[in-house]
Amino acid sequence: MMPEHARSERMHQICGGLLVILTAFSATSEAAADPIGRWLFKQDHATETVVEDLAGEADLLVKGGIRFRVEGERSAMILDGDKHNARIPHPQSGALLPAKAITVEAWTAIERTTEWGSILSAAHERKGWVLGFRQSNFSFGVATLKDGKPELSFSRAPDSLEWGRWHHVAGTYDGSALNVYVNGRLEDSIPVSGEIQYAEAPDILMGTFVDESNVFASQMWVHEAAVFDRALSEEEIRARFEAKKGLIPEVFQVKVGPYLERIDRETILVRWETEAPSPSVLLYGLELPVQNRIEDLTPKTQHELALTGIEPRKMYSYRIEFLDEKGRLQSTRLHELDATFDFAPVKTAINEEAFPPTEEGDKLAALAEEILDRIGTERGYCLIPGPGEGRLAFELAKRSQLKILCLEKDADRVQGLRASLDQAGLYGVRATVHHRPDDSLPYAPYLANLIVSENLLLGREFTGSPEEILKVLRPEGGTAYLPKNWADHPALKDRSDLQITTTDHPWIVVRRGSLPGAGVWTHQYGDAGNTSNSHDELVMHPLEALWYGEPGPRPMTDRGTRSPAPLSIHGRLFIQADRRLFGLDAYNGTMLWEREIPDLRRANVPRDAANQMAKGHSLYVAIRDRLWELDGQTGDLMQTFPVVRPENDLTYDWGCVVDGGPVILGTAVRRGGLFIGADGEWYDDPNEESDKVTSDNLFGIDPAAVRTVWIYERGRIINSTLSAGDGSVYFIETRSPEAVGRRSARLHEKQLFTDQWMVCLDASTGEVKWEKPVEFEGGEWVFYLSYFDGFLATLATTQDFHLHVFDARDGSPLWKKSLEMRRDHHGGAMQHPVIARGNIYCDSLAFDLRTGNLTHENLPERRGCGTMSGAENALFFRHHFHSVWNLDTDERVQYEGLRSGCWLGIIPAGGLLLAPESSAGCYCADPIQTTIAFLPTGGPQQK
Amino acid sequence: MLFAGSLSLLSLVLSVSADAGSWPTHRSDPARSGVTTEQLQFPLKPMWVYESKYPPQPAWSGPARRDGWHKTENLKPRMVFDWAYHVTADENSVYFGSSSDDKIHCIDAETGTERWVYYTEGPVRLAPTLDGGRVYAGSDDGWVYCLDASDGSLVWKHQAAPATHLLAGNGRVVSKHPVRTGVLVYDGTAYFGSGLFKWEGVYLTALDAETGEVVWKNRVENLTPQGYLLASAERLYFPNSRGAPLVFNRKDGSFLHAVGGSGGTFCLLTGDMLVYGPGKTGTLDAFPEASNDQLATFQGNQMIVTPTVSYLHTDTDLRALDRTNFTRLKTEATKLGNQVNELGKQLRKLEDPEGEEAKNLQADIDAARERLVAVEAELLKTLIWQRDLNLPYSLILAGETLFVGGTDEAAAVDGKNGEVIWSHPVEGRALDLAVAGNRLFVSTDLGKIYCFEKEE
Repeated sequence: MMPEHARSERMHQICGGLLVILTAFSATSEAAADPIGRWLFKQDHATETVVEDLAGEADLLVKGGIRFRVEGERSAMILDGDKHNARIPHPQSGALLPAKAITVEAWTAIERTTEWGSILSAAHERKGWVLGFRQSNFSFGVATLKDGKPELSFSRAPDSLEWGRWHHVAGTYDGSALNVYVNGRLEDSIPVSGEIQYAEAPDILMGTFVDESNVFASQMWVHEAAVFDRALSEEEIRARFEAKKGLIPEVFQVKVGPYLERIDRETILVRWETEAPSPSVLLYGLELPVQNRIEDLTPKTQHELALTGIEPRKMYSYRIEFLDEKGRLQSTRLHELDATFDFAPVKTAINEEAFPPTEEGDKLAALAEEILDRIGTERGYCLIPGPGEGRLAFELAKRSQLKILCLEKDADRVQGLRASLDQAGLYGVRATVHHRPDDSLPYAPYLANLIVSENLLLGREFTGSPEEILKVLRPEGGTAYLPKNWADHPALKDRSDLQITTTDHPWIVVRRGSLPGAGVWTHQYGDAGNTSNSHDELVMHPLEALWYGEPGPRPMTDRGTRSPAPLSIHGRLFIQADRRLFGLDAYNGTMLWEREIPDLRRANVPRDAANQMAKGHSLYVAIRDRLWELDGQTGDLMQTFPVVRPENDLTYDWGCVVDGGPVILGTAVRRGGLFIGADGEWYDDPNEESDKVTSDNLFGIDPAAVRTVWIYERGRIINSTLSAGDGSVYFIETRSPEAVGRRSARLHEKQLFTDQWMVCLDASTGEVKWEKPVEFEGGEWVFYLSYFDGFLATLATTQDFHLHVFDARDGSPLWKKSLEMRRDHHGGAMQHPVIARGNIYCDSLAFDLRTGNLTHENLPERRGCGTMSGAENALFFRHHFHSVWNLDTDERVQYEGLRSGCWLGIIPAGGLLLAPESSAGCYCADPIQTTIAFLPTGGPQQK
Repeated sequence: MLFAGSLSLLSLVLSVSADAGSWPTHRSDPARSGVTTEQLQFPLKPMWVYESKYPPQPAWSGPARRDGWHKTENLKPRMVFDWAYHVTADENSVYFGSSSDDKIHCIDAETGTERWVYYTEGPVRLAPTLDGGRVYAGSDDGWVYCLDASDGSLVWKHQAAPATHLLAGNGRVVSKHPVRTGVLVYDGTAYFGSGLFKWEGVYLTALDAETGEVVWKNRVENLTPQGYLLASAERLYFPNSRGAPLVFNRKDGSFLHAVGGSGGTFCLLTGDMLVYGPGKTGTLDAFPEASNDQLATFQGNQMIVTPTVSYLHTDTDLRALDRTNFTRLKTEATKLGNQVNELGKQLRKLEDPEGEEAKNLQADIDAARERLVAVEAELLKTLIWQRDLNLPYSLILAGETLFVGGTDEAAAVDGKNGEVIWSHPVEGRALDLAVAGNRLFVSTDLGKIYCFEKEE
C-alpha cells in the first residue's frame, strides 16, 4: 500500500491539475484491423460536432456538441441520447450495412439503462442490426427473414450490466449464429439464418434507440466503436478485449456508499468509505462532464463532504475520486443527485428577541433540554395543552425539529400566543395555537410524540382529560408529562402499555409502549417465515385516515417493478423508494430520515428476495456486496458487514437478508444476478425475467460481534425459498451439476427443478438438521417457501398453482393441492400465499394448513397487480384501490381514490394499515397519490 | 351551432368578473378566465417585493419522475394550486392566504406593507375572494372565513367539516375535511368544497355570502375537491385534484356529470367550453360546458380565450389563434383522429381482412385520414402569431397585453403581434400573475410577491 504522505502528494498532483493524460491506445494494439467503420472518441479524432471514421467515410455527427471526459488513459464521449446523441446519416451509413455477416463492438460504460438501448444501431422499422441492451442486459440483434417477413432476433447476456462500469461489448452474426460477447466472453448464442434485412436508407444511431412509437434515450460513455463486415471469432473478440482491458479499472467502487443526507433545502451531505486512506474528492454539476469540485485532502477512510448551494428542482450528477490501495486514481460511476424535490424540514430562522431571558424562561429552557433527552426523537409532534406564554413551545422548537401544537382555552390569550410565536419566526410551519374552550382534544389518536404543559411545569393551573391525552399519545415511546395526582387515575392505572415514572417535581412522566395486539412487519412477507402476516390483531375494517402525506410519487419506484415491501416495527415505517430509503413515524407520518443511496435497488422480488429486514431498532439493507445496518430512528449508518463469499474468483453481492434469531442470515449472489428494474420494467410473464435468482451459499453472522458464525455451501439456493422460524432455517436448493455450473445467478425453470433438495439448518450453528430430495411440478412463474408453526408450504405456479405442505420437523410431505389459476397476467400467476388463522390463503382458495381441507373458496376479487398481505382478522390487497377483507364478517371494502401498487405495498402493523404511495408513474387519473396510514375504528385501541 | 352563442356567453361570464382595477378572485373571475380589461402602461418597474418568512408549503409535491411502462418522461404536476401565494387585489390592497403561517394576509398595494392578518388554524392554500368589501377564504382547518376587507375582522365563519377532527396531513395538522377549492362568490352565494377522501365524506356547500347561512350542503361521491372551483350561471365545476373535474348544479349542488380527459387543476370556462389540464404531459382538454363529449385535446399548459382570439401557452412558445376557426377545426381534427383509431380497431378485429367489410372500413379510414390532412392544413392557417418563449408557468391577459411567468422571469407580450414588450427578473418560478389598480403582481414559488407599476 502506498504510504499516506505519498497518497496525499499524489492527490495533490491530481487536484492541482497535474493529471497526466496518457497517450491513448494506438490502433496497432488491435488483433484484427479490418473494420469497415471505426470511431475512437478522442479529441484528436474529432471536431466540435464530428467524430472521424478511422476506417472509412462514415463520420459520426454529434447532436448537442461533443463532450469528452478524459480520465488518465480513458477518453470517452458522453451521450445522453436526448440532447447529446450521435448518428451517421444515409448515404454514409450505407457502407456499414453488410448483408451476410457482421461484427459490431464498443467499449462503453452505461450510466442509465432504458427498456431498449442502442450503443450503435442501424435498426429502423424493426430491420437492420442493433448492439445495445434490453433493460439491464447487453444484447445484439439482427433482422432476417422469417416466414417471409423481416424480424429482429436478439442474443442477450443473462446477467445485468453494471452501471457506470466499462465493458467491452460485441455482437457477431455469421449467417447461422447470433452471438453477444461481454468483456471477451461469449454470453449468449442463438441460431439465426438468412441475410440481414435493412430499412431503406437507415441512419446509424448511437445513444438512441427508436422504434415505431418510442425514442429510448440512454446515458452512456463510449470510448471506441467499430463495425466489421464479417463475424469475428470468439478468439478474436477475446483478443480485442484483452488488448484494451486495462481500460477497466480494478477498483471503481468505494467500499461503502456513497450515501446522501439532506440537511436542508440547499445542503446535502455526501458520505462514503474507502478501503484505504484517501483524500475526499467530489466532482459534481448540472452539466456533463461534471466540473465543480469539493475536496478534503486529508487522507481518511470515512469521508464526508457537504454540497452547499444546491439549487432546487435540478438534477445534478456527481462522482467520487479516490486513491485505491495501490495509490491509483479511481473514479466511481456517475451518480444522480435528485434535487427536484426535498423533504427536509423547513429551515427555521428563530428570533430570540421574541422571548427575552427571564427566570422562568431559564427554567423552561433547562426542562426543554431534559425533555428532549428523554423522549428519544427530535422530530414529530408535541402537544402543549396549557401553553402559558408560549415559552416552552419556543424552547422546544429551538432545540429540535418538533412541530408544536399549543392548545389554549382562553380566546384572548390565543392571539397573544400567536403573535409571540409569530415574532419568534415559528408560527405556522413549526408552531401553531389552537383554541379549544374545554378539555377535549380534537386530534387524531397517536398524534403526539410528546405531551407537556408549560402551565404544569411552572406549577400553574393545569386541567385536562387523562383519557383524551392518552388517546392522542403515540404508542412506542410517546411521552406525556402529567400531574402527579393523575397516577392513580383509572385511565392510567393497570395499563400494561404505560410506563409511569414519578419525579421530584409535581408531575409524572408517562411513556406509552406498544399497542397490545399490534403486530410487526419485518420482512418482505411479514416475517422470517414468509407468512405474509404481521399477526396484528387490531387491523380490520372499518378504517379511517390516521395521517397522509409524503413520500408522494416523485421519489418512488415505478409501480410495475415489484420492488421490496415496506417494513414496520416499533412504530416506524421503512420505505424503500427509487435508490432511497425513508424512515417515517408510523403513527403520525413524520419523516424521520431520508437517505439517497445510488446503489440501492432491487426489483422483481417474486423471483428473488427482498434486500432488507428490520430487527429491533435497526434496519438492515443489502447494498451491493455489503449489508448495512441503519439506525431506525435516525437513519445513521451504524456498521456494514461484507458478504461472505465462496472461495473462487467471482464477484458477489449480498442477496437475501433474514432474521435467523441469534444470527442474521445472508446469502451471496453472483454479481449481475440481481434484478434492478431501473426503467419501469414490468416483471410478469414467464420468460427470461422469471428466472429465479439463486445464491451460492448461506451464512449466519453475529452483528454484535461482527463475525461470521457459520457458512453453508452446497448447491444453488433459490432465494425466494429462504425462510426461518423457531430456531431453524429452511430453503430449497438445486444440486444439479448443470445448475451449479451455470455462470449466471439466474436459473431457468429446467435448471432449477432438477435435483432439488429441501434443507433445514440449525439457525444457531448452521448444522444440517435434515435434508430431503423433493420434486415439484415446476415453477415457471414463481416458487415460494413459507414456514409457520411447524409446517412448511411451497407454492409454485406453472399453468396452475401447486401447493405442497410438509412437516417442518423432518420434511415429510403432508398434503398437496393444485389450484386453477384465475388469471395469468397482472401478477395473477405470482400471488404469494398468506398464512393466517391456521389457514393458507392461496390466490382464490384457502386450506387448513394442517389437514389440507378447503376452508375458503370466496377470496375477494383482486383486479389489480398486487399480492395480498394479512393480519389475524383481515387480509389486505389491491382491487382497484386499497382494499380490506374482514375474515370474520366477510366484508370486502375498497378505500376508493387511492391506487395500490403492483406488489406487496400495504402492510398491517402497529395496529395500523400502512400504505406507502405505490402508484408512481401510473397513467391513471386517480385524484391523490399519497402515503397514508389507516386506523381501525372498531378496535380496543380507541381508549 | 355549438359556438354560435359563444360571444354572448362569454359576455355573460365576464359580466360577473371584476371591475377594471380589481382582480377579485383567482384568475380574475368565476370562469378563471385570466382576463381583465385593465391596460397597464409600460415600462413597468418593481415597486416592492413582499417576502414571506417561509416559502409556500404545498400540499402535494410533484408527480413521478417518469411513467416507466409508457416510457414517458417529464410528467406534469397536476396539482399546483398552492405552489405560490396566489393573490387577489383591488386598487388599494393585495390579499393572499399562506400555507406556511396559516394566515390570511392583506397588504398595502402601494407600499407592500402589511395592513392586517387573520389567523386561521391551518394552512390557507388558495387565494381569497373579494366581494362586496369582504374577503372569503377557506383553510385546511376545515373552516371558511368571511372577513371585513378593511380591517380583517371576522364577519362570520362556517365549519365545512362535520366535526372537528384534526390529523397529520401533508406535514401539518389539518382537518379531515380541509377546504382546498377556494371560496367562489357568485350572485351573493359563496361556494366551496371540503374533504379529500370519499370514505371520510366529501362535501360541497353553498352559503349566503352575506350571513354565512347554509343554502345547501351535499355529501358527494367520487370527488376529491382540490383546485379553484369555477362557476357559470347554471353550473359549478370542481377540479378533482389529479383527476378530471366534476360538474354540479349551481342551484342545489346536485351532480350533473363527470368530465373526461386526463386530469389537472388548471381550469377555464370560455363561455361555451370547459378547458382544463395539464394532464400527464401538458395537454389541455376541451369539453362543452354542459356535457362530457370531448371536443378537442391540444398541447398546452394554459390558455386565454377572448371572443376572437385564443392564446395557447406551452413549455416553449405562446401562440395567438383565430379562436372560432381553431376551436372548430381542432374539434373536427380530434373527432377525425378518434374516428380513424376506432375504425382501425374494427378493421383489426375482422376475421377476413380482405373481405368487403374490410374494404369498406379501409375506405372510411382513408376518407377520414384525407379529411384530417385537410383539417390539419386549415388549422395552420388559424395561427395569428407564434412566439418562442421559455416562460411556461403562468399566463393572463390585461387589456391588450399578455403577461407570462417563467423561471426567474416575468414578461409582457403584445397580444396583437407577440412581441415581448417588457420583462423583469424575479426569484423563483413565477407561478401566478394578477393585474389590479394599474399594478402587476407576480407570485413565485419561493414565497415572494412582486409588485410592478409604470415608471413615472
